[in-house]
Amino acid sequence: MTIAPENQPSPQTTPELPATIRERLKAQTTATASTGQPVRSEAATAPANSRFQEFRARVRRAGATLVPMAGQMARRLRLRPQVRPTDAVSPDQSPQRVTPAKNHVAGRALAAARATSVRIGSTLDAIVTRMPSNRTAPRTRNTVQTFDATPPDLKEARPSLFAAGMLLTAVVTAGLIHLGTTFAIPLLGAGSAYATLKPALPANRMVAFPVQAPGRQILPFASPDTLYAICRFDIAASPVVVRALLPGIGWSLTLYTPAGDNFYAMPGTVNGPTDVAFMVVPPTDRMLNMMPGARREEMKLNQVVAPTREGLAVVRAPIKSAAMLDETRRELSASSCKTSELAAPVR
Amino acid sequence: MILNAIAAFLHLTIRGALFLAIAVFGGLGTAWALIHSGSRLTTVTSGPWMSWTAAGRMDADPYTRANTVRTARLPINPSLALTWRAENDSDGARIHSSCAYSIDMSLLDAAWWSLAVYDDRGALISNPANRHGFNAATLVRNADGTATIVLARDARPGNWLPTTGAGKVTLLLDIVDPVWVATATSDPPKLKPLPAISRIACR
Repeated sequence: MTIAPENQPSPQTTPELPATIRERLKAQTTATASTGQPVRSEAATAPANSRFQEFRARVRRAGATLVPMAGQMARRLRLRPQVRPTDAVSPDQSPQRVTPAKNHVAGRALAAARATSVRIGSTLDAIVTRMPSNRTAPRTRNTVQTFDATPPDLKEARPSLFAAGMLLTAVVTAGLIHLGTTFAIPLLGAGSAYATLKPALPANRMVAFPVQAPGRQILPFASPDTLYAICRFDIAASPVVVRALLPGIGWSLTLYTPAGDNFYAMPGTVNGPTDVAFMVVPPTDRMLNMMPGARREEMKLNQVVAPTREGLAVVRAPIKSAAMLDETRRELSASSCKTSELAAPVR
Repeated sequence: MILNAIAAFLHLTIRGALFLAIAVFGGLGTAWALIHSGSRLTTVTSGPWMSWTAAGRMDADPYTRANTVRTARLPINPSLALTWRAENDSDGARIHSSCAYSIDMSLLDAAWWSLAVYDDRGALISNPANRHGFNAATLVRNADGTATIVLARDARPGNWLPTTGAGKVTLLLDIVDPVWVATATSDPPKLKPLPAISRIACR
């Protein structure tokens, strides 16, 4: 492969090609010399592999000519000294020199152009090297068998659509997405029962809801045979006392965290009414009953340690018949949820 | 040269699409399937009925907790109550309001239970009879102790549960009986028979 004289890079601006490109050029030159066969121009070879090589050669030439072009442009912009390498410089003829400041700028510009052209050339070379070659193209007669200078290991490693490494990476990524999604849903809590009910529930007050009917449901899949009384407790400032009467089977009093974990449950029994009363306390206030000073009634209550500062207390009342609806409402109204009197100042 | 460039572009595009399909859709799809439908590790089935075994527990697995959040439920601890859900009949076909079904309640012996019908999104179905479910107190039994609930869009004699024109419907069976639940969740589980859902006819 020869380079036309007008495109020959000047000694001052010869780009430093990457080692891989130099080796391939050397190997190709050696191969053509060893065959002893006249080498036709690359344009004359018909098979697809030779067209491939011709394209690569054109890419290299394009990269090699970028720097002289940048140099010419720099001269036109008067960013470099007005001295050409071919000009004879006599001792009594000092070339026009630019100022040191401009020389520094010109040098940096030329160095940047040189580096850029080398990068472009090597990148294009790497791309075309990795293109799937047309191995099934028929060879025509009277042509020189072109030597493919691509290293054997690179030829073997040309990636296919279903590379094992890519599939493995995709599977691992899918697993990470799977785990992230599963753990993120409870943490974010968007759309949970607590998030849905919170706007309608004041803090530390029991709210009784009407019978569930189409268009008047508090939550999806809420039972139409159940009356609900719900308290959104907030024990950040003080404990909360919860009281409820559970007349029989089907009744229940349950406490939930915002994520829907049921950390306390008391069911009604067939044996008769159950009067439930306890104080919901945060984990750090477990020793309230050991406090000195005036003992109040609430200190005798059982304490239920809540894992979170906020949550829901739900009383469920079964509607056994339409005729018993009013009585069920009265019994449900006995449920209460309020801030502990312990929060009031001692007088 | 242009053809080679196009081939390289297509090569890259196909590989990228394949990677995205496996990574994103595979990851999200499997997560959605396990959170929405559960698996043998997180649910127990009895005929057409399915229940999340750890729903409401503090040590529930991540899939159960995600399901609880996603469905906006407040499940009672499974040591006291169980909620069973049926979207298909006993033959595996989707329950639809265009068909009539017979639900055999004869063998259900829990102290307290309630059965209600919802549409696919968990909303109660509006109907002229203003009836949305039955419970242990409102179910009418025959003289021999058997009982059947008929699920249909048009009025039927006996225990009729209207579906109107809701399309795909879901049945929810709440059992609040610690003794019944303890037996069902014992080791090994001795699942008590749950109501069979038989299709009568379709329009």
